[in-house]
Amino acid sequence: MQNTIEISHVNKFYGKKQALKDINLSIGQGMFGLLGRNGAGKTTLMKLLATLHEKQSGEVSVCGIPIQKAKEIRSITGYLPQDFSMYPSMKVEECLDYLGVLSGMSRAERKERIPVLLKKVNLMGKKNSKVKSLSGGMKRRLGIAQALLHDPKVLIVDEPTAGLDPEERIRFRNLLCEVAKERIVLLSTHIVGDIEATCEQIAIMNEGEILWRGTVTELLENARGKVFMATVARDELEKIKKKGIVTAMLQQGRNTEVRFIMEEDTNGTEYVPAEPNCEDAYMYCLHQHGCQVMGGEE
Amino acid sequence: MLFFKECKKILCSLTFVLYVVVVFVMYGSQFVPALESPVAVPQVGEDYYGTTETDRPEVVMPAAVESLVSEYLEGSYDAYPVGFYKQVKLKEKDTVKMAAIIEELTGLSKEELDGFEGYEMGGLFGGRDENGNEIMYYKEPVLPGYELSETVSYERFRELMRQVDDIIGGGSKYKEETLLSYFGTVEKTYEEALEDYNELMTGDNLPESYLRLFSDYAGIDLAIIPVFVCVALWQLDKRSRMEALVYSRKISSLKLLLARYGALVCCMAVPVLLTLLHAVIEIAWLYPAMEISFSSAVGVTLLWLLPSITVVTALGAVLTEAVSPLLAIFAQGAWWFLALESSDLVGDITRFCLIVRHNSMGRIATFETQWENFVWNRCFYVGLSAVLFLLAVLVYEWKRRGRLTGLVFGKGQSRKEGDDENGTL
Repeated sequence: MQNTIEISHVNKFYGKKQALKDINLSIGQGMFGLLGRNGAGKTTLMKLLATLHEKQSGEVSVCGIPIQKAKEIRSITGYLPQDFSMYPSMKVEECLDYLGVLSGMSRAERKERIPVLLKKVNLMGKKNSKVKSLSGGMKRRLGIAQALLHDPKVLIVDEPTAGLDPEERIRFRNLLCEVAKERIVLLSTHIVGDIEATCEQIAIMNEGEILWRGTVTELLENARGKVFMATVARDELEKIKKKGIVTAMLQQGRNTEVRFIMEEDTNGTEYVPAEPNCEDAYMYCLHQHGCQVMGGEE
Repeated sequence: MLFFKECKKILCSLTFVLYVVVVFVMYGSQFVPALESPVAVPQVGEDYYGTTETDRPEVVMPAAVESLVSEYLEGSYDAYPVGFYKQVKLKEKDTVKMAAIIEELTGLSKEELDGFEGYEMGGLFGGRDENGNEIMYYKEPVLPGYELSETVSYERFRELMRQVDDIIGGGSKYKEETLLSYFGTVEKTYEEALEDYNELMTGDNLPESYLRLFSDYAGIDLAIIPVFVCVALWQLDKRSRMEALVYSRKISSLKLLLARYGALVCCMAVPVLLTLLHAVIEIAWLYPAMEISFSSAVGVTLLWLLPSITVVTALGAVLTEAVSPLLAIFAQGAWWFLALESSDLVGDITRFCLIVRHNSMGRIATFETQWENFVWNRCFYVGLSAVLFLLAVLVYEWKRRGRLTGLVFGKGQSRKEGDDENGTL
């Protein structure tokens, strides 16, 4: 069986609005990050791969199975939606058992797999707690456990760290990296830090299109020589804002320490070239493809 | 396995607990009083022995003709064509046909009928006596004077009543099946009461009569309350924000919904069966000297009540899935009200009315004459349940695949897409 997701010339409309525009993507084993603003089309693409949406045109296959064969796709895919919960009055273990039945797992398989997953997501101590008593982070971890329950070849995870505190976010990212060793993990997010910390391969989406696709290193390389830092007065800051994209600012007395992206020639200025980080590179990529980028604008 | 998990979800829900309470309370308040003492043997000299239907022409003919003349002068006819009340106004050519039938029965011509100006409606009216107390009184209608034609035989009269029912469009008081219950109801004599008592105590009549009354009461409740349990459970995935987790599983929509629907029907049948069991035990205790076989009576009861649960549940499921839980409750409430309003207490079992009624311990012959309608009615609702359930499966599958994004069907789905447009598309 192939171990890739192949997406070819996929289009999807909601009424007259085109949500996906001629998407072409090949996703292999390991973590793959889908980065984009809110409304870029990431969730639509994720739902399409989870067979919860249908495309209008194009071809999609998951591990060699055409997306039209929903039942087969569902048996090899685990899906963690962005906005989800579980029956609040059910116990954690009971919930997983119920979802295991819906995945067609035998009693023996469930009995073996559920404790393993609960340990993996560090919820063994909560197995008899009701879902409603779990914190947001615990629910997310339970979410990943349910997605991994039937040992899928593909894991689709939509905005998994939204709303989590920093500690839970790091714990969750590490968990994803761990499970990505044996399968394809497709992670969508608008939080650049999540991608930087977990994914080697990424794609950037905007308004239903794939703007860029490559490795994180390539994305950083693309922005090399375009990122600068300077400590400037208010007047100078206004000039920078007009000419470039401000990605970070720190007020220091009357001056401001500013980090920005600029394509103009900076010779003769006191701007210091800086090593681009993933956030700079992402902003530069959007800017490079003609997207209106509002970084630093007031 | 899934079936039992669905049952557990239902049994642990507050809505189901309330359903059980309602079933028990209604049973206790409506049927249990009938179990307080055995049916008494009629005694000579009692004031009242109840009512019965008679097929005596001298009773049926005058009453039916009086009603017909009254409705003609009123200009409208009461009917329940498909189980629901309808006030029928005739076109001119049908009015002419009706006048011709009345003329054959009474000698009154169309001109005499149309020219009569003193008509006053008869029936039961409310009012106050001289002390200001509310009272009910019966008033005879004021009709033109007529004599029933002596040349019209009872057979011809029955034939004319069939024609009258055809002209009205069916479902009228004059139709074959309900003619006697409307126009042949008379007070029983002692002999008739004794005969009825003896009949009641023969064969399976006693348990069947008790359980018909049980089914009559339970049937009213089961034509409405299952919708609340169904809607609450059918909405659980959405309310728990668990839809996407369930949608993305391998299980087929048919298998999943069959387990859920089956669990709902079985769980809702359990308290009804418990009350039935209680009724059977109580009846057996009431008549310790009799050897009572309940098998046939219990069979009829299940045929009576289970289709009510299945159809109400299926309609609740399809409307909740396709439109909204509120609409499901409202639609079921309206259907229940209309069905209850349109069915008489006894002798009016139609093929399409949701609520089957026989609110009597006696009138065994009346029920037996309507047996075919009863079976037809219950089988129709089993069939309708299957159709509605399959429709619910179809809608669920469409929603699961994101195919329904319209205003009505995909309301939930559209809202999500709206979120996507503003948020995480």
